[in-house]
Amino acid sequence: MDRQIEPNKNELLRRLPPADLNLLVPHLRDTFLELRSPLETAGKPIDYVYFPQSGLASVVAKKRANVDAEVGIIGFEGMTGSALVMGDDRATHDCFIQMTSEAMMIEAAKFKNALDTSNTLRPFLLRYVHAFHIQATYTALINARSKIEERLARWLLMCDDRILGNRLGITHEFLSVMLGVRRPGVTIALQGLEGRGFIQSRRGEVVIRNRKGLIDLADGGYGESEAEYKRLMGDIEIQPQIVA
Amino acid sequence: MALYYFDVDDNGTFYPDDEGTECDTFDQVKEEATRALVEIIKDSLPYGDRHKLVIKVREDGGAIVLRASII
Repeated sequence: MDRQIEPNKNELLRRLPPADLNLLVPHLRDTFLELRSPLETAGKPIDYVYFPQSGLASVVAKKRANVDAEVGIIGFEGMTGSALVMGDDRATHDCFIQMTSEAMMIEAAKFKNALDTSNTLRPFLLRYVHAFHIQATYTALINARSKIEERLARWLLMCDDRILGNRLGITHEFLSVMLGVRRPGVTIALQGLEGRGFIQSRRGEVVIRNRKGLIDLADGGYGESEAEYKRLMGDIEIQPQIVA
Repeated sequence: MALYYFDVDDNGTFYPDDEGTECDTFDQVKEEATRALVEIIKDSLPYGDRHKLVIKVREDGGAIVLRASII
């Protein structure tokens, strides 16, 4: 029986030329990924490549247990397995699901076969890998030079871009890892943004109320990387803002 | 392993901690509190002549076990 493949929910699969998509489709399958599902493990070979259709995956670099920081966000605009596109077979950092995700997955070996068969698949995906790298360089800049509130605003915007609706299910503890900041700093930053009316923060949930406000507050921290993605890959469909 | 609550008083504005953080040892509690102080003060210090930041750490039962401050 033919499986129903819906490549249109992932921006990369949607943009692939039909010939390249046809190389992947026989090996793609649908999967639902629970919170914290591991997609890649630092230092280990990559088993599968995931093309999210919803939800969020995080690449998290770790010095040791509990000393870690997020270095990359992947949603429906991207894919995991960048290392494979660049000719490596193992993951540098852990990658796991941060918000439950529907995704298309493909075995790494099958994915590599497709890269070797096509003359156009790798160059196309390299443009995304470059965009992903640009995102990481902005994360480095912001982590070094921006205030906690600005970093939080950027992060919330990046999540909001990738989820349906405006509610982010997220605890302070999780935000602390994502921003590489201790919990009390996160709490103050959240209340600062709430005090300005940009978000509503409840236990385990942040509701985005004013994207424009967050963008202004991020003070240039948000937008450059997103513009680079658009330049490299084309327009992304950003989730509409919902204002109560 | 126990749950500790890190309440912050940032120049008179109170930010209660309602989630808590798991810490293995009291040394870890001290390190969390001091490093948090430094992270927070780094953002707010340049914007006033005088700033007082206090973190009070509560145990699960409510007793205050540590008070760390920067003035």
